[in-house]
Order: sequence, then C-alpha cells, then structure tokens
Amino acid sequence: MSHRQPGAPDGAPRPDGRPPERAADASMGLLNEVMYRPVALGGARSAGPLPEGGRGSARRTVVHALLSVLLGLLTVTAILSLRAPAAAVDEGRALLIDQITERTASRDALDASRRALTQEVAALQDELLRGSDPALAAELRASELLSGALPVGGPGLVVRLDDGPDAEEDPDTRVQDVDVKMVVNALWAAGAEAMAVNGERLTSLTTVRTAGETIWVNFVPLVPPYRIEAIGDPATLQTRFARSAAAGSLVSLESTYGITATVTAQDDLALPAGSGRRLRYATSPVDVTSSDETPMQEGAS
Amino acid sequence: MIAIVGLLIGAIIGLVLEPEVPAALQPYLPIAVVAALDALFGGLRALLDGTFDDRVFIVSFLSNVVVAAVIVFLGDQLGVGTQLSTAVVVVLGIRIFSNAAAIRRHLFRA
Repeated sequence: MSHRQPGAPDGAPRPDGRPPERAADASMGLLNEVMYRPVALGGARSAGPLPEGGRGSARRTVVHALLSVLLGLLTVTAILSLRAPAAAVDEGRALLIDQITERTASRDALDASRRALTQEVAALQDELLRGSDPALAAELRASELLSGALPVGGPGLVVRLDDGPDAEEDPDTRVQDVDVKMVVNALWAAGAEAMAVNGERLTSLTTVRTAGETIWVNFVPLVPPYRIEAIGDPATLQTRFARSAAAGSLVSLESTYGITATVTAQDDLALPAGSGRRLRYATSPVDVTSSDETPMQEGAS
Repeated sequence: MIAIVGLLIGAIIGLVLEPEVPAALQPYLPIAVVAALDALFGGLRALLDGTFDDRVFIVSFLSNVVVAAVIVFLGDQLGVGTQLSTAVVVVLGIRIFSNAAAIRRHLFRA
C-alpha cells in the first residue's frame, strides 16, 4: 500500500512513458501512481540499500523465515475459513429444519392428546349431565354440534385446490389464502353446514390467512393440495356453488395461473372437531334461549 | 528465497492444522486474502524484474495485510465498513491487475 519514493528510477512498466514532474495530468497523480507504479517492491529496494553480511544478516534471515511462515499460515487460514461458511450455513439450515420437524411432531402429539382429553371431558360431561339433566345435555350437544366442537359426518362436497405447475418458481401460481377464503365463503353461501380445510375444522373462530408463503388455518400451516370438505346436500351445494362467483373465479384462476380446482360430491364425509376454543370474554347481552336460531356460521374472512 | 520457502511451510502448517479463526477477525479475512494476493503478485513481478528481495517482500506482504485490515476495522467503527472495503478491494484489484500485466509482459513479451 505504500507509495513509492519520488524519483525511484525503475519498476514502472513504462518509465519513459510517464511525463516529467509538472505534467498536464498532475492532478491525476494518485491514479497514475496506482495504475502505473503499483509495486512497492522495486522502489523500496532502491530507496533502502541493504547492508549485507555479518550477524545482522543471519538474524534477519531467521526473522524473514519466521515472518514468512506466519504470513503463509495466515493466508491459508484465511482462505480455509472463508471456504468453510458454506458448510456452516448448510449445517445451521439442517439444524433448523430438524428443529422444525421435531417441534411440528411434538405439536401434533400435543394436539392429538388435546383431542383425546377433550373427548374424555365431553364423555364425562355427557355422562354426568345425562343422569342429572337430560334436557341440558341434549341442548349442550346441539350447541356443540352447531359450534363445531364435535366431529360431524354426512354427505357433502369436496373442492380440491392445487398449485399451478410452476409453483416452485413462480409464487403467483400458488393457491393463495384469498382463493381458499373465496371457496369457503361460496360454500357457506351455498348452504354448507360444516366445513374443514385439510382436516382443520372451520368454526366461527377460524382464520384463514397467509404468513410467509404458507396458508394457515386455525394457526396450523397447510401444504397443498388444499382439500375443502363441506357437509350439506351434495346436489344443492353443487348447483349453488357452480352458480356462485367463486366458480367463475376458479375457472379464471385455472386459465391464468394453472391452479386446478376439482369439485366432487361424496356420500360420507367425516370432519374432525374444531379447536373447541371457548369464548372467554364474549357474553350474551340478553339471555338468548331460543335454540332454533342457528348461530352465524361465519366463513373465514 | 527464504520468504517463499517460509510461505510454503506456513501454508502447509495451515492446511494440516486448520486453525480456528476467532469470530471477531472473520470480517477481515476476505480483505486479508486480497492483500496477500496483491503482495504475491507484486513479489512474482519483482522476481521477474530481478529486483526481488526477501525483506521487502515480507514487509510489503505484512503491511498490506495489516493496513487493509486496519482500514476495514476503521471503516467498521465509522459505519462505512462496506465502502472502505470496496475502496481497498478496488485499489488492490488495480494493483493486482497491473502486476499481472507486468508479469504477462515478462513471460510472453506481449
């Protein structure tokens, strides 16, 4: 990095090509210095004559050897550790993936145990109420059925949405949360009584949303294809769904992005219970007792 | 020649031992490598010019690496680390280029 002494005689590739001191490009001195006299070696040598021979020479040789060993070590170490990070990054990534898989498995296990416990609680509650207050038990059961707290089964419609063929490269051709919401809302509007997306039951407290590049339902990440199951009269559902705006949108999704949507009627669908989250803060302002008023089955929005 | 033999020995030691670099020094490694490259090309050119000298070679090698690292360190402290790294890389890159050109002229007379 050192600049050469002025007047160093040699070392530049074209020493005679350079103009004398007061040149027209004097203001370009720095650039000329960098471009045409880049080597400190020749100049420094001629600037500092080396005393030869004697004890000093031997000692200097040792110092040279040590320093050069040190520099070689430094350079190779630097190169080696610069080459390493790729592996380290991969390692960290693999570790993260492992952790994700592990946590997902533990979440699934916890969820399964929660479902089992919920079922047990429901069974015990049922047993207790059936003995003391059969009417209340029936009412509870009806409410739970309506609110999605119980697994349900019945005939219905299955809408299957899948990403376009280029989904890996082009995020636009992936199914978005709005597409799922559109189908879900259209199915509610067509008269569906209960619905689930990829086994996640939709209740009044369900959200369908996107975080990152993943669609989440009930705060559970889903992977395509998305299977939207709706229980209801298959014929009615199919007719009304086909007439809805959503059906038209699905066609345009397919032509524009290659997102495929297939609608099939099924005789026997089984939907799991919803998350069973209780209302903690929401209370009824008046004592509503009429049981014939169906709770608003809101689609995800 | 001692310098070159020493460099080779150091390189072999480094390859064999693979010492760990402290994390604090990691940001300076790329610049240090570029500076080392610059010194190596400079040394090669001096060798072809017939002006090679162990002392000058080692001192310029060492000062290149240290100065480059110090500049990057200062830049980091001042919040312009990336820019100064770029400056160092540009300057060293130009030097490497012109040294390589000189070496080419020596070797191929072209």
